[in-house]
Amino acid sequence: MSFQILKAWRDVRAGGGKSLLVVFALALGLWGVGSVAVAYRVLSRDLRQNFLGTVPPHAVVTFQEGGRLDLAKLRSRPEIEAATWRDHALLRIEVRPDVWVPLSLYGADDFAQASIAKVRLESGATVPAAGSIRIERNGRKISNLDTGSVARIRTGERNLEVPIDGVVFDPAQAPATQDHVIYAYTDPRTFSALSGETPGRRLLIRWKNVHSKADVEKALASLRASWEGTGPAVASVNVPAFLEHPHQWQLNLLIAIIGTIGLLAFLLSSVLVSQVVAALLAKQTRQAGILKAVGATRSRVIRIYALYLGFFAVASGLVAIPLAAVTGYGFSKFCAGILNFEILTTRLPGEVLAALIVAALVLPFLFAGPTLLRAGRISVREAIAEPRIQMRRRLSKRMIVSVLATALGVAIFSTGFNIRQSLFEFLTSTRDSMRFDLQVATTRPVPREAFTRALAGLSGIDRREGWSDGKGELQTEVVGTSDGIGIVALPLDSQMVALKMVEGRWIQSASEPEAVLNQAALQLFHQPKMGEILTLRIEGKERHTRLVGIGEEIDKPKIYLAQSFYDRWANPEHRVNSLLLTAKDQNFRGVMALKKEIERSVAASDLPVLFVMSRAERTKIIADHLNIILMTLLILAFLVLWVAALGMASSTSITVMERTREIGVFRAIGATPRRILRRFVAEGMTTSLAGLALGLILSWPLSQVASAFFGKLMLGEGAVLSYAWSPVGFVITVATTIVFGLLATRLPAGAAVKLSTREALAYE
Amino acid sequence: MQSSNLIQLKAVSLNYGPAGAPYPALKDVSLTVAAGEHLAIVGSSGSGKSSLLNMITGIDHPTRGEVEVGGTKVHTLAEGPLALWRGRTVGIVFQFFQLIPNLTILENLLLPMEFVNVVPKAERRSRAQALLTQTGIGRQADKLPAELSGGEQQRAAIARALANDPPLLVADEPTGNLDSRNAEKVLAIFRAQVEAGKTVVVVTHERNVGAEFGRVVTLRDGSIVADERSRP
Repeated sequence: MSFQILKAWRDVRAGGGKSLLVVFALALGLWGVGSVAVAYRVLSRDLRQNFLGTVPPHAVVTFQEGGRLDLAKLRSRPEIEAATWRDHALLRIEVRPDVWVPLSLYGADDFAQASIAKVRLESGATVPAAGSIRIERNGRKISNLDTGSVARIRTGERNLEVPIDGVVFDPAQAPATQDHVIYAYTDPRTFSALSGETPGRRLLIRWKNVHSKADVEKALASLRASWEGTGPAVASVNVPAFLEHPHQWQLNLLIAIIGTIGLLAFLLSSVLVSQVVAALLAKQTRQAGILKAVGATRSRVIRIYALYLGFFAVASGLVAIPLAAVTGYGFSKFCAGILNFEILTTRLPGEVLAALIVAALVLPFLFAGPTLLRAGRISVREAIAEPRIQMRRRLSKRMIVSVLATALGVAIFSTGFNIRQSLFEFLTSTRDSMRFDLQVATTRPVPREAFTRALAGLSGIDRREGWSDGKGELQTEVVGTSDGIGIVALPLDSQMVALKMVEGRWIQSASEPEAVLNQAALQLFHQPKMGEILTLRIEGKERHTRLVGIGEEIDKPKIYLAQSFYDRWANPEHRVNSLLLTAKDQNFRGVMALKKEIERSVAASDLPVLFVMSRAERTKIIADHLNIILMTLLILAFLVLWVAALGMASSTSITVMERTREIGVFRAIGATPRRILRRFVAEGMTTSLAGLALGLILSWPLSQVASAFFGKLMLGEGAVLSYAWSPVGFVITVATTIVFGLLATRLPAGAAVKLSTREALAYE
Repeated sequence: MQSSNLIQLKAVSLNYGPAGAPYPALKDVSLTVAAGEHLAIVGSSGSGKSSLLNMITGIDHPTRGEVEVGGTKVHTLAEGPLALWRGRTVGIVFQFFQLIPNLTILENLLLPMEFVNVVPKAERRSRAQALLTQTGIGRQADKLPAELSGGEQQRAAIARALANDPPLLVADEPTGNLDSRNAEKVLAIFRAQVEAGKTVVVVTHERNVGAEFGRVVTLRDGSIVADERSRP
């Protein structure tokens, strides 16, 4: 072995604890970056692959009547890749005794052999038994239902007992755990028997050679044109986001969080690693001078120390890469579990592994490059003299970096809490915007008297208000959309809703049709201006309404209209499909007791109930959607603070090591170990507190930017999540930073003062 | 026996500190050392003797003047060629030994041979062992520097300085950290080197050590104040 390699290797070994510290610091940075890279690669690919594996439709067309379209003829058209019936009805299913949730039931005769919207059988017979249903597997997490059990299903006006003969996996659906909906699949006859609808109404289509939503809309328009006059009447069309999973937004948000925080953690650890490596290389400066004195050229000195760094790079890579794979996959599985998809990337992708290896080999040189070049450049005289002032300069530089690193860690940690607070306040505002205690929704509009009849005799109800819902198409002079927009028609003087207005005001005119959009609708409609006239196509006719406000709401795209106008346009019989109630006893127990009574009453009535839901349950559904994001945010923010604390511990360790001789001198002139320890701890805590103060100041603008960023991702373009300060986060940040700072200083200083005076004075 | 000049310093000045307020370490020093000479540079602390040695070894460059060693204008060499020249031409012995702490004594000798590549690879190990034996520490070859006494470390440092068989051996206070018995052993090695035809230049503040040398140059405040040769 070359003596240059030997020297580099022996230097690593001789470094002992210091070398371990460098490997640890490097591995930490690499582990953080690696975990993010693995998770990013696996998540971004696998959710999409799961979704694409189902061969999702490009468009969904619902006809006014079933069985009017010649499917074989449609399939024979050259531009059509695949088309199939997939009827759909919203019913209700009992998931536990007296607990009902909506049932999203699909009817088709070719689930097993489907060429489009495929589902995979997980348990049960290959051929489904007539009169039975199969449920989507994620539904088991919110119910007692499984293969072999018998479900109670509310079908219009009656309850039916329907056997479950299998469980399927359908990654194209939003997770049941988040939407609190059971997805089920059955044959057309059973579908018809349960829903009362004629099969052959809802058509899924895929086209050849379409690459965007615009292509699909164009192809669909052409197809609809061919049906003009002779074809079946279209009730509605839906062109979903092009080949995008319904919960892709959550994943995008998660990836944005882990990417952003991962990058910050990486920057943080890189600064700290460069400090530790620089300190270690600085210890070698004298030797660099000796090497030059005995004939080593600059390049040879650099080569020796590059080898030295190379050993650290390899060691940190060996530690960090497997760890990164484990944590990256762990996080991916966690997300997959929540979003109900499967991890398909079972082996670490080659390009990720290659990137991690390159990162492991390159990062130390990136961090320590300047120090390495300095070691090569230093003259023999400078190296041998090594004035103490250089060490002093290094110490103060390191202290500044420690303060900045701690500040960054504190700022990110604190920002995590502030965003969490913003989300909580958003949830609270959403909850407060709902002024009702319970909502009873039906599968179709019913006369108001149907509700009155069903709920007669319930004494716990205080006030009640009926709303009408519908679907419409929204378009302006320049932009049109075929996406359905939910119409909520409610009384002008509604006491049951008070949306927080982001812009404008609530509807109030009885003479002119006014509209309020929620933020999702705003995005869907390409950011219309306040006061703009919106054109709505309702029941085939164009209706005009003025946009007067934008409300903050995390929900599907919705437009709020005055009931009087909606009834005039599309609801002459004044039917309603939602009853909003307030309870006389408004505490949680009172509301839940009333809910139970309502459930019993509607079960015994002929009301086609879709759901009975309390305000708390509705808030929980929203909270469940945000839960994964909140958890990830806090875990990662804590990780950043942890990295900062470890970095500070590394930095303190190096500082204490460099000052070991000083400790010896202190001891020699009468300082007790306790006094020396106090001195070091005081210095370390000064750094921590300075970092804490700076970090808390930095967290304010960072939280503002982050809230705006996450608000945009979560609520849509143009939406802002209001900044909120978290007092709990403040206390936890301060306490954690002080404890971490104390430990990061106390532990290395404690070890150093244990050395005898002789050992400390002899320390090289 | 003295032959041609090995070292020639012509009107060398060296200033430290800022240009506006320079601190002169050497003032217009001229010195010629013939090959095979046994020279001591003496003077009190701060007289400029280490600076003078740094001029000869190329460790430092003069502010003014010329330094020529073995026909090479040292002050004109760039960093890379200078290191190689130094490895081949000058063996340096430092006051604090400056051995590489994580390499054994033998490996400390092999390292400069690897750098300069003048000794054939196959002969390096035996040559290193022979040098250690010659300096009286042959049995310590496989030990780390920290396991040796100060005197042994200094002898190891001399052996390393001789690794590439340079014509010039320079030492900065080589006995400054040694007891009299070890100091005597080190001086004996230097004498042996002179007898073998090498030029030896030693910096020392110990006047009694100066008596060991064929020529003693005395420095004060950066200038040569005496240049004495002992009688043959």
